[in-house]
Amino acid sequence: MGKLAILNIALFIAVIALFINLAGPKDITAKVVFSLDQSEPKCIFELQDKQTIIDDMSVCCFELQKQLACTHDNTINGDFICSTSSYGAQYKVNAKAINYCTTQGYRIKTK
Amino acid sequence: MIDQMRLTMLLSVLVAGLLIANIYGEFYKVNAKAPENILVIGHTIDIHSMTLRQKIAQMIMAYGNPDDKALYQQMDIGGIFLTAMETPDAFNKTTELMQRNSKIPFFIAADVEGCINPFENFAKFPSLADIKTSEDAFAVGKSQGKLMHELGLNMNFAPVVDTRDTIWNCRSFSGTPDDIADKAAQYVTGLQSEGIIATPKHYPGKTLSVRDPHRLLTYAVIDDSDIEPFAKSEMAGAGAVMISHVIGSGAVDTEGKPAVTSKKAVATLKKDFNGLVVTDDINMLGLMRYYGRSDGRYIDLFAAGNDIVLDVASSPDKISHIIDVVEGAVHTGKISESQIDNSVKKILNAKGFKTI
Repeated sequence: MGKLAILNIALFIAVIALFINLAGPKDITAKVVFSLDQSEPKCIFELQDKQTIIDDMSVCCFELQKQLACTHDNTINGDFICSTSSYGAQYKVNAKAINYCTTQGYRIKTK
Repeated sequence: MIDQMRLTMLLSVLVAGLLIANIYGEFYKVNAKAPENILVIGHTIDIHSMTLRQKIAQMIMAYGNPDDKALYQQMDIGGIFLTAMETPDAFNKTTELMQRNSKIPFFIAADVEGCINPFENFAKFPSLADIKTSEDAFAVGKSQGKLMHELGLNMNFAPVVDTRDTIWNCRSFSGTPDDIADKAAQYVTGLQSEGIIATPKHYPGKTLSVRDPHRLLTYAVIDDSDIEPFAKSEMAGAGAVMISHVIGSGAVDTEGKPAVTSKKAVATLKKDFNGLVVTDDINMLGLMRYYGRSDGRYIDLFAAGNDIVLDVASSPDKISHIIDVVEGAVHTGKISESQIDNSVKKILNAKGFKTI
């Protein structure tokens, strides 16, 4: 393949990338990762050792955005614990949930 | 060879153009001009000096990202919603920054409920479920209000007055509907005694007890006991009420639509309530599942008669788009400008302004 053809392929990829970045949601990375992750989003509310599953992901996303941060839970690979303090209510979510919320425009602070 | 060169030139021009457009964000330019036209004399605002876009913007509350402050002030949106921060100082710096140089001050709100508490890193409050008496409810409301005032907030999206919370099991008051109504009224009185607008939620009720296992629309039969806490809170002078996306029947008929977009539901609420009607977050699936991603939801939200539309997954370009859609709906007669004016007057009055 000639050098010009290779250059054109590279320019074409740049055009696509720039167009998607301009016209689509800001967090393309989250969108791509979300699409590739085949698991179901998981969101569990926990307070004083009592757990409840939050079925409605939009409600979960709103609650996650309210928290101080979501940090990796080292006990379970790929899961996060989202909370505002170490003694209060917590949300246990997986990466799929975090990425879903991010793609929907919620601002989730992760550490 | 010549074709390849032409293609190279074409693609190079496209790349250059898209680079410039990315830098300046031309596709989602925020349509706003600095609000220098708004006539403010002391504590009086001439509402006729506001453009339609500015009036619509006053009816919108967005997520309070400090990076968006300049654009939100330029658009003149009505308020911002804050979430948890590490220290009181962080809150003070944020609220002071957001209000600095505002032509019309923002509402600055948070969900300070008790078990849901953005101050939890430095201030603990009991969950509403653990509050035993109406006197305790007053004291909790007053202490939360005092802290909110010190930190520069002026609106609390609380208390939750749903009579049952089977999802979080902590966000609602406990007891009989009468107990809940009394506690709610005392909480409102305590909170507002510190200058914070209370927002009992989620009208018409049953929002925290209806499970949605299939993630579809949420239906509930509303009883008189669901409405009683709102009625008592309103009598206690609550400055606002938050309306939910539940599709209700019974005591409150939402016409088969999410309550937030039902003219009948909003009218039922406003029959005995003169304060601000605030929507629950408009990104909730309860609304999105009904409307999809259609702009029709924005038109219906404003046409229903809500005074404030809350969008917490917001960005300036998205807010600008909402204003575009609603402005268009006013021009085509789907929403009356007098209705917009009435809501804006209520908002400005709640902010301490007289309007002419």
